Amino acid sequence: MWEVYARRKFEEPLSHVGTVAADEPDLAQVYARTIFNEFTWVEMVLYPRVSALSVLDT
Amino acid sequence: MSETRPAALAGIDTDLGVLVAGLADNKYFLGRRYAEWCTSAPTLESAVAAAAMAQDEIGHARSLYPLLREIAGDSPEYEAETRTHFTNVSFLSHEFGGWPDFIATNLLFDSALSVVFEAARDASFRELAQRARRILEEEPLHWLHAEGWVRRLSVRSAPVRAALGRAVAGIAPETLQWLDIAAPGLVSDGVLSAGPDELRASLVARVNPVLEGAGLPPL
Repeated sequence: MWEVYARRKFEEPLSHVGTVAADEPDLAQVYARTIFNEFTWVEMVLYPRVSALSVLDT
Repeated sequence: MSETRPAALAGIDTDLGVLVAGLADNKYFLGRRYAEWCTSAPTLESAVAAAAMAQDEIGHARSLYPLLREIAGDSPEYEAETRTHFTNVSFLSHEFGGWPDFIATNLLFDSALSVVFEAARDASFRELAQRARRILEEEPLHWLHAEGWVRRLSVRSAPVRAALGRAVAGIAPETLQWLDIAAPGLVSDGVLSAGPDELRASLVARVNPVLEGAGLPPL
C-alpha cells in the first residue's frame, strides 16, 4: 500500500489525497497519476505505508 | 493490405498519408482495445490505468485524423467514426485474449508507436512534429505501466510468465514489420529522422532489457 500526497500550488502544503495498492514503485506511480487526476497538480509524491513510523497508536 | 488500394484510400496513397493514417488508426484501435479492460483488469487500480491509457490513445488518434484530412482532403473516410478502411495492425482488430495480451501490446506496440513519434519529433512537417511532442509527453506513464506489469507477471508463476512470453512472441513479428511504415522518402524529406532498421533497433534496445529481466526471450 502506498500513501499519496499532492498539492495544487507550490505555496500550499502537500495534502494526503489517498492510497494505491501496488507491488512496486513503477506501478504505484502509474496508479497514483491515473486515479488522482482530478486536479492539475504541481507536485505529487508517494511512499510505502510500511515505511511509516508510528508516533501514536491508540 | 491488398495490392490494389481501395478508392477510399486513394487520397492517402503517399508515404506521408500512409504514415499518418497508420499512426492514427493504430492509436485509435489501441485505445479501443485498452478501453475494453476498464472494467475487467486484474485490480481496480489497473482498471483505472487502462481507462486513462485508453483515453490518452484515443485522444492521440483524434489529434491525428485532422492531419490526415489536411493531407488527403475532407472525406468521411478520414474521420474515426465514419472511416471504413482502417490500416491498423491485425492483432488490434480483435479483442485481447487476456491480460498478458494487454501487457504485451502495451510493451511492444505502444513502444513501437512511440519510437516512430520520437523520429517525427523534429520533423520538417511541423504539424506532425507538434503532435509527436505532445503525444510523447504522455507515453512515459504507459511505459512504466508495461514495465511494471511485465515484472509483476514474470514472478507470479511459470505458467503466467509463459503466457506473457507467448503473447509477446505472437505480436513481435508484425510489430517489427510495421516499422517499415518509415519509408525512405520520409527520411530523405526530413519527416522522420530514422528509417525502419534504425527504428527496429531503437525498439529492440528499449524492450529487450525488460524482456530479459523478466526471463523472457528477447526480440
